[in-house]
Amino acid sequence: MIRLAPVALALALLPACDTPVTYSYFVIHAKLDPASVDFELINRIEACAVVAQTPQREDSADLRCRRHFVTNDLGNFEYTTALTSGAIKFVLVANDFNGVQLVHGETAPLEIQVGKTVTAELVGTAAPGAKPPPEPEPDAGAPAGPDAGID
Amino acid sequence: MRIVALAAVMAWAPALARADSPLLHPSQRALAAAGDDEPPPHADPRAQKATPARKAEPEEETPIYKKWWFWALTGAVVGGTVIFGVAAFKPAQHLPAACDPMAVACFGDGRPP
Repeated sequence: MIRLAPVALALALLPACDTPVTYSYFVIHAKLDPASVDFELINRIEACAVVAQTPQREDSADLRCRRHFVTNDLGNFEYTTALTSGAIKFVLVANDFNGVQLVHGETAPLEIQVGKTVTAELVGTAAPGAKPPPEPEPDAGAPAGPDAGID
Repeated sequence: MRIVALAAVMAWAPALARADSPLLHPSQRALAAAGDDEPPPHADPRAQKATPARKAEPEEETPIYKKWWFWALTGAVVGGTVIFGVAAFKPAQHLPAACDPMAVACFGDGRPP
């Protein structure tokens, strides 16, 4: 019996390794700024994703955007963390078929509130260079083409 | 002459064939003198197999718990069980609260990748 005492002690200490985890939650409403992201730009969006930048690492998730089916309201996404301190920033990106970034947006750093839910809004705006420069309007006085004036 | 010898042998033949005839059964002294030249006695293997094995006489045995191999085996079994249990032990997972089913994405710690 004495020989089994260390074994029994080791087995009794095993549950002590199990420490409870407290999660914190973030519910973020993602949308595209209609003033910046017009219908033409929305129609080019092929994929969109959100990145959560924590003090320790980055997590990302697909927001399930499908081309020609994207609206200004991208919906809510939820992020969960086991961290108990620090701040988390959320970044929204949307790309076209060629991987060119069309939309960008990010939240301010949101403090973690242990065991609670933090809500915020993430607004995406048109990324620089996403919109092609407007084409110059043809000059009204110039000839329309090489055939102009020829009957 | 030959006929006379043949008749004498034929007359002696019944006497030679008798069981107690000293000609067919040598005397004890003759047997003792020729003892070293006899072939070894024939041992029939079937007869040996048929003989029942002798029962082992009961010995005074020590108890099993006083034998070293018993404790070695016990220690190996118990130690192996503990090592396997520790290696296979997984603490209970504390999962986060369920996500809103309307959420377009749900990720982070405790969520499936």
